[in-house]
Amino acid sequence: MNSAEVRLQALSKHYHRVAAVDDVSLTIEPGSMVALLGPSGCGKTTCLRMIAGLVSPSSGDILVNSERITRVPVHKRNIGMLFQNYALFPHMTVSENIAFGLDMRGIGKADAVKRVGHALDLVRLADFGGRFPSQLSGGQQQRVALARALVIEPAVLLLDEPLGALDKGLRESMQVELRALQRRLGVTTVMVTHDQDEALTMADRIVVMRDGRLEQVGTATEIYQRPASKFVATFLGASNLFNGTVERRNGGETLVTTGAGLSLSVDGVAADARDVVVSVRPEAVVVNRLNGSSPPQNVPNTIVAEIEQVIYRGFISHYYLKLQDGQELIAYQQNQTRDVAAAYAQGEKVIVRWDRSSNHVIAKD
Amino acid sequence: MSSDSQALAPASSRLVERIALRLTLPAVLLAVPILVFLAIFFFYPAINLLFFSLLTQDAKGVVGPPHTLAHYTRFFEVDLYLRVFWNTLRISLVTSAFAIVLGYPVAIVMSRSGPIVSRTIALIVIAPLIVSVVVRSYGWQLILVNSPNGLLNWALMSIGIISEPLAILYSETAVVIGSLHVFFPMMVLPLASALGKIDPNLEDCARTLGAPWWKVFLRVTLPLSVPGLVAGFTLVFSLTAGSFVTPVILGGTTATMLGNLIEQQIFVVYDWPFGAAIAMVLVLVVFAINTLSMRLLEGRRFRSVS
Repeated sequence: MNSAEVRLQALSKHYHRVAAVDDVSLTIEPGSMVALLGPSGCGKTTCLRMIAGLVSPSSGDILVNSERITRVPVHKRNIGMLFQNYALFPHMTVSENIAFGLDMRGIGKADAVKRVGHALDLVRLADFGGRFPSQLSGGQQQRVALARALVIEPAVLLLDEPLGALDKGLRESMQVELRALQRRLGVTTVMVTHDQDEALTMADRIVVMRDGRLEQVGTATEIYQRPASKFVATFLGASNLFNGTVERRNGGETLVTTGAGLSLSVDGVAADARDVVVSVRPEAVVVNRLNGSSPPQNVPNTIVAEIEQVIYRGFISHYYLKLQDGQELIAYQQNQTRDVAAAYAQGEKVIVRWDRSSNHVIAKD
Repeated sequence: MSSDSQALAPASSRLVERIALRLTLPAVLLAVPILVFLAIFFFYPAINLLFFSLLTQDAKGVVGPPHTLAHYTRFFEVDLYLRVFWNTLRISLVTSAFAIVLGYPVAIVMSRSGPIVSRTIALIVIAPLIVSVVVRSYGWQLILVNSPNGLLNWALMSIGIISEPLAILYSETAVVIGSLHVFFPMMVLPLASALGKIDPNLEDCARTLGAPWWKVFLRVTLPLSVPGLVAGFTLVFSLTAGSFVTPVILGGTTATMLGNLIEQQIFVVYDWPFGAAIAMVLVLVVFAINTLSMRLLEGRRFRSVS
């Protein structure tokens, strides 16, 4: 399959003066998989439907391989789309469903039969061609929808919450399967999801959207480890956010103090910054007992906290902590021994610390 | 989370339905009053009618044995009766066909619009039912009158489309127009309801797969709306075939239908057994056409995804 490059240029969609998608520009590399991630109503589905041609943009352009397709009608765009509820034609068999797109392209019967067979093999449903969609499980329906979208050899594959309707176990295995298939075929893919795990697992690049705008674009690691805003920091996983003031600078290292008397040593603070927001991921926070010893003073990235609640989650425990000034702090810690989590009492004072490299300065709100 | 529960919903609701069905079996009793009513006032007279059509009427007008099929053979041997028979079938089929063709666009708009628009359209479509069939038919008579004074002829002649008045009144066309006017909602309402149940994603999906709008309609919308189409066709066909007032007022002597023939036999000729035989023919034709249309349109392969 030849891979296409997709480019969105200042794409906007307004509904009665409300912007659903606002000035979105994005280049999607040929053969890559991009996930549009965001809460419901952030404009990600509208974006996807504009690429498909199901929604016409208020302004801006969509280019596939540098060719402007903004005004090309849906049925001439050569796009494979997977709908949230699969949208299989209930009155057609699995084979007829898959052959539909070939039929619309005027492909001869013999050739079509061969390609449908190939597509069924691809999604491991070779023996299901004669069944009706209602006779298939959710996962099988999903794979038929995928075969139907891929058999037309689309320039771009669009996935609208592709695995949202599957139960958890099936969803995880389908994520891996779908990703492997996409890599093998090399088809440029845009996926819409509100599920951060799905985006992190499947996408080469993640596009976080909020209120119709792009919030941050980057690889899974970039987005997770260096969130550009408070919104990204809290939408993808959990974050502990500290509002602090720059205390002193020492070369590349900056010392920031917060209201609770916590001092943070941080890299990469802008030279003119005074008030900054620092995020620390819960899994970076290490919880230890005080064991009667007096709390250390003026050690960066270390503070005394009080246990509010400990939730045992199997291989990890979630620690809900409270600092002196009332700020809440979350820590995720792997459970090494059998009863370590249960051993903490509510209200017990503990010492928490984390590595300097876990401090990340957030550029904007 | 929400999407998980959505996926589970169909399966669980089906289960709930099945359980509900089993638990509320005594609810069948609620249907008993109307069933008893229909048994006494419809099925019993209908069977009586069947026997009547098989009896002989003597010179004094007394109906009794011997049993005979003579009324039926007479019906199918006399040209006049056969012509009325074909008139009835033709008018009913043409009316249904027009109702389908005109009904789809209206039903599609209804099923796609918001509640306010769709309810307004429904009201407009149903409105003709509020007016008595006699009043409505006389209204059509005024419009269709075959002289230059008729509203339609006057309008067409003043624009210059025609130079001689059309002779629409007292023809099958007039009966079709009159019937269509009344029975149109019987097509549109079930059709809109069936179209409303089609997942809009199916049509969007067909478009992404390369189908222009008319292929989307033929391959996806039309086959999936068949339940509504069958319901609408059955209603319009049956109601038109059983018409009496409309053909009398708008059809005159040229577009007589079975209903008029029955009335003549009962009230003018006083030949009750023959009238009964014609009535039985009408019942059987309507029944046969409905059964046939259901088989033909629904086919064996149609299955719905719950």
